[in-house]
Amino acid sequence: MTNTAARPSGRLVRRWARFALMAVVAAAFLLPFYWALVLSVATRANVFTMPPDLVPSWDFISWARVFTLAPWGLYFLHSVIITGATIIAVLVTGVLAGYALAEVPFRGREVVMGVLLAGLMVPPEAILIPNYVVAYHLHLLNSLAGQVVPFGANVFAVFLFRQFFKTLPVELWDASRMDGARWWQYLRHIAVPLARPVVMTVTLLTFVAQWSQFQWPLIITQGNGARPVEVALSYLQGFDGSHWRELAAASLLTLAPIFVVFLLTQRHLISSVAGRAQI
Amino acid sequence: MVETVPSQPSPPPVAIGPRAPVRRRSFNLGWALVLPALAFLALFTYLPAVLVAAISLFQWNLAGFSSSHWVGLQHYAQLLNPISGFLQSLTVTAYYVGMMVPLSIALGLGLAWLVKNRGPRLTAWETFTRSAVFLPYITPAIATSIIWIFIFNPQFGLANAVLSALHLPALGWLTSTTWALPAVMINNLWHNVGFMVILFLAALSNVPQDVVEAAWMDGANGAVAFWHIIRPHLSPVMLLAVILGTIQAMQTFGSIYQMTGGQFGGGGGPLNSTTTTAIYLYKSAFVYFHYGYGAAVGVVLFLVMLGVALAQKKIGERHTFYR
Amino acid sequence: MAQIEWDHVSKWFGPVAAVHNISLVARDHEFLVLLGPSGCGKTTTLRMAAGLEDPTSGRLLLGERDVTHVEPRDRDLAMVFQNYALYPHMTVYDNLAFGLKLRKTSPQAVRRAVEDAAARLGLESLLARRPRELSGGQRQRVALGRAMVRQPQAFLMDEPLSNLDATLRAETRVQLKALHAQLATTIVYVTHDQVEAMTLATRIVVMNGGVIQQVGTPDAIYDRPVNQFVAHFIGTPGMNMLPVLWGRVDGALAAIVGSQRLPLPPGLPWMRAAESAVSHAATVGVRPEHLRVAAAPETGTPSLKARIRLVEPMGHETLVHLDLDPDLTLVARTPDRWPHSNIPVWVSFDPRHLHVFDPVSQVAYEAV
Ligand SMILES: Nc1ncnc2c1ncn2[C@@H]1O[C@H](COP(=O)(O)OP(=O)(O)O)[C@@H](O)[C@H]1O
Ligand SMILES: [Mg+2]
Repeated sequence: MTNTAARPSGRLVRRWARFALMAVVAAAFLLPFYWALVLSVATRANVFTMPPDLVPSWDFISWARVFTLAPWGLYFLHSVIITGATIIAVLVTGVLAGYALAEVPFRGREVVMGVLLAGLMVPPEAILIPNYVVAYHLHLLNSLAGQVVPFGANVFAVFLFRQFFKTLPVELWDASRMDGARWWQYLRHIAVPLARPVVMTVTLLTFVAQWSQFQWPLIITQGNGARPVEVALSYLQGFDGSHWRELAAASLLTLAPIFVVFLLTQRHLISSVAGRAQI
Repeated sequence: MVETVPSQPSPPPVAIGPRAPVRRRSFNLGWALVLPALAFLALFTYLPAVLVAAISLFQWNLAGFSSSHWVGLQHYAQLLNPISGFLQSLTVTAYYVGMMVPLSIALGLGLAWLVKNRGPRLTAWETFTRSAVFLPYITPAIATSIIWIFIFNPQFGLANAVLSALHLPALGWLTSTTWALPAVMINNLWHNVGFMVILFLAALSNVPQDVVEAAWMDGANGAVAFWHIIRPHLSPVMLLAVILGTIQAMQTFGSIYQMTGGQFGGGGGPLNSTTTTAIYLYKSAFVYFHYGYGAAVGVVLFLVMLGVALAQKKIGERHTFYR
Repeated sequence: MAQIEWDHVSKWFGPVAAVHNISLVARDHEFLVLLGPSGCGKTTTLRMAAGLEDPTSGRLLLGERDVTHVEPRDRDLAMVFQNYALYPHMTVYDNLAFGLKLRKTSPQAVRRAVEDAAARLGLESLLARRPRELSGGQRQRVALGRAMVRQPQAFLMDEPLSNLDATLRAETRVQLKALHAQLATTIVYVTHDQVEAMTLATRIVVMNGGVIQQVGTPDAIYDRPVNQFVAHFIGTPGMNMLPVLWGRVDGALAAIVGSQRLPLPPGLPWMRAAESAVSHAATVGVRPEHLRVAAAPETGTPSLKARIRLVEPMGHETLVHLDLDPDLTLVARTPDRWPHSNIPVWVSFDPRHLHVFDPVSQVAYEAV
């Protein structure tokens, strides 16, 4: 490529080219968020222009108005409850099953493992309708519970906990038994506290998945009774599609929790996603 | 006090299992502990996996089997009838998947190579660029699709602004039967490529740096080095990327729904040009309320995805080097 | 307070008998040491006492109480594990307090007990640390403290010193002995280290292959091993074992060792048994420390001609490896220095120090 004499400067050029390219890539990936921000604080005159205005004019009127368009507090409350409850359910079912599969020998353990693995093979999209039918018969339609129960156990979480509990030395269990612990006290005071990284991973992945949940709540909710933010946002765009500034503000509003969590935990979050892919 | 050195005694009749943590249980602790997880999964994974096939044989009424009409394989016959639009949805899906998988892998691999750390530690720029590329992946598809709807607005959107800056003709994007699906693809490439980057970064970090350097010394240029040295190391993760990318692409719903007018009849427009099988299934069941028919679509989707996964696994096993 | 009894206890792991038909009593206040080579079933024996392992057959008694099927938490015993098994996420304080908290002890009582145990073991300044911030010796003391705080009826210790370096092990051994005197509780202690066993034990239980070989005070085990295994296992280096044939010299019993004759004085305790034995062969054992090496034969004591093959000087004493015949070797431990090898010498010993074993059953004659 480069001849020998030009090598040192060639290397320098390549380095700077790479930095420039990284800058362009980062800017390109962040641009949609940035433009949404610009739109959300644009004045009326700065919205529908060609070429689009990329300088924010810091007019927060749309941020105020978006709350008059829909009861966002209620939607947020729904989403928070749904996400929180699902995280708890996934953690509890994951810890218990993971513990059993790792440390409690019982007849049929291998069968359970196989059944769980088979569950991973079922594409959620394909069973949308029977899920709806089951939810209908369990009276879960148009309820918050209906958005938690279908996601209350997660095979991946079970396996993560199982994998972790298998690495714990048996002596910890023995020692806690000598100290007088029963199995749930061992779980509560020894095993789960030690599994904090796994708890974190499962929490983050469940949070991201549930906060973004759309198709399922779309089909099972009507009206405001149990509507989460993403469905509300979808309706807002459907009916007020030309209110760009308010829509941008509303979008950023529902993205905010994700941004915050990402900023706080990005390393752990990224490695969690990477780990998720390996199963 | 004295015992003679024993000959090895014979085992007792009862064989003893592995170390049991809790003894004398009146109930089976193991089963009790897996029960909650299995119960959730039974209700919303295992039972539906069976139910979907059953429902597909009925003109389904939500009240249950007794108020549903048995139609046998009629729904499947309808699927094969071109008028139903199902075959077209398969074509759209194939187009979508066929574009998304190679594009996201190529882009993902390129970006992974770009943000891969060159030194022993990540520089601030590398970290920042990684984060920027990854962030969209965890954002809710509706919120970001709304932004992309603005971007693809033919009159005031960024996309056409870019085209005009490049002296290219403006496009109708989401209003065009030709460009609506590519617009969706661009959104989803942006949204999902971060996942591919993460996948490939893990694989690239396993490529022995000294091997690459040795190749450089031999005068191999970048592309040759990449092809001959790095690619074999990537092939296992490549298989994973193809499978996961396909599964993800086939199930894409939210972004297509939102960008193609979901609130007005379930999306997939204009003129069904973006009606993938996922959209088609949704509309069948929840716009037209043909649950039985939708279930038949689900069965086909199930089989296709299973077939794709198995086929790719088979092909992959033959072509994967370092396993 | 606490007597632990194994009553015909066996433990099978699949087809392997880890412990076979053991009957044993650890008496109140006793320091009972289970000694034996690795894999002989010591840990399993201890774990059955703890309740961590179910015996396949037999009973376990705590005092008069049958605890065979009682959970560990209801046995009131404490255990010190070989690798300590401290809770890695808890501070030293919490490690010590955990058992008490589970037992719903009042917070003040917990604090008092923890501080008391910490003071005894010199852990006061470490209470806020986590196990990973401690040295090996400190961890070992925490493990000990965790056992002590509950004031259990008895301590079960599984090779508690084996992860310490030699110096620390020797120090801790002394502290342990002092602690036992102070606490005056029953301790059942597992080790494969005979020095630990000899120095610490009230009584030693020698085990091999899941079977008890001998139970006795350290002196009894050393002086009167009941079989060849115990004889060889105790002592460093182990007892010399020589195959002999019995013969008579001038009407008195003599042993034929290789090509030499060894006349023996009458009246040794094992002689009747040897004479009445069917076989004319036996195995004779003599400890290295009971052998004397000299340039000339001693008068009045049995002596054997030998040649020095190898010398291991150790400062305060010397290990002398001797060849009697090409395939008959002895090791002697003498205070004298023998700088040269390959010289002819005489080996002599007090015949009362001889141990004689049946060549087939390997049981000591004097024990019959
Ligand atoms: N949980 C177990 N499963 C199977 N075999 C075991 C188990 N625990 C111990 N054993 C076997 O039992 C025998 C005695 O083991 P152990 O009591 O640990 O011996 P020691 O403590 O004297 O070294 C060994 O042969 C060992 O392999
Ligand atoms: Mg052991």
